Amino acid sequence: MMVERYDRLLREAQGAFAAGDLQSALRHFEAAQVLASGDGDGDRADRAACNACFVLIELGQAEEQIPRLRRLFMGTLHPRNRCTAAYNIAAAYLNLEDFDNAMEWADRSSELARDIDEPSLTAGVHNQQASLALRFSRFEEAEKGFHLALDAMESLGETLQAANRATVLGNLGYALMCTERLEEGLNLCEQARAALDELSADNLIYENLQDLCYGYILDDQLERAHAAGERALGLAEHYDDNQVMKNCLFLLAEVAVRRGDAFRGRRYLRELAEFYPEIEMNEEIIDVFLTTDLTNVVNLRG
Amino acid sequence: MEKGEYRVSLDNLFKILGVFNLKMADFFGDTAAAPPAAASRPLAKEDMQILQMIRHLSPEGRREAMEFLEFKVRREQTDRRAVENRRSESETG
Repeated sequence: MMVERYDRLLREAQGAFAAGDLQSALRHFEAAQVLASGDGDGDRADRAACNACFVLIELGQAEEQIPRLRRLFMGTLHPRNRCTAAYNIAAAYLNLEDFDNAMEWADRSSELARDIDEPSLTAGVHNQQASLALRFSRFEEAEKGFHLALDAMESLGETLQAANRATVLGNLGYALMCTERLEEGLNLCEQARAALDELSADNLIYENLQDLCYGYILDDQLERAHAAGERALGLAEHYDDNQVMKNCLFLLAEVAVRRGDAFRGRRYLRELAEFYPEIEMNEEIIDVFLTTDLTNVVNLRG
Repeated sequence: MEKGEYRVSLDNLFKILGVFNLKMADFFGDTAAAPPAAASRPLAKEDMQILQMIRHLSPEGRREAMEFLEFKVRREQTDRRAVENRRSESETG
């Protein structure tokens, strides 16, 4: 009886999380934890606690979750819970932009995932590890990781995983574009865009649009690059994602320069410069951006 | 290094540019020969068009364009110096 109620709470929490209702997800995970603890089921309580920590990371409380997750990691022998705790610690470090520690814990969760027959967790672990490899410009390692994530997703229900799968496809597309496989990369990113548009997943699509803007610049399709970049910029602004906003301003400036519109290019770059008040941004630095093709120097996921 | 060279984040690129306060001259060679006002002003549309054209050239074409520009800069520098010399001679003489 307890197990049924517990499973229902977990399903409701996951549904709320997928719908973006983080507070409701947190309440359901915490209720599941209390229920399992009351029944003396430590493994189920730990699982719910791990998930609650993940929601709290998403809610901006990453730093506070690290010691809690470390305790969960050390205190359990349950392979799935250890793997999830390691994965969530990596996510917390990623959130705090401590990429070295994030990579260390992502590697640990990846090792643990080998012994677990749980495709959704395996897919998440591989995607996380590959995304970090991408951040460190380790493109081939990233490509392999994204393929492993997609393989793991094959066995999962299409609707539940559609958004995740599209995100991984987009990530893989960007990795390919960075390793001179532009056509293949653009194709994957377009597939991802179509899927995310169908799901109306605006919160996930803007990074994909940023990658498309980059790809279309390389492919000299400047109209498409401009359209994708402007849409990505608007959505990133809406979701308060500074990194994507900065990348888009940089890419849109490059589109303007390639169209011969230096005035507009300078306007985007001045807007970009406002993100760096600590740097004395003079016209010479803006000129460096206007006159030097930096598209293959910048890692948009860096 | 893996296929696909190492890249930096936009944040790190800005830090590098900020730390070194890189000047245009560092990217495009010595511009000391150009008149100071032209060298220090922001690029105009015409400058951008020239740079656009240069970016479309092959490495060999770029080298030739650079050689021609250097020749033109030296030539104008010499002409300017000659004009200034004649002017100062006529003023003193």
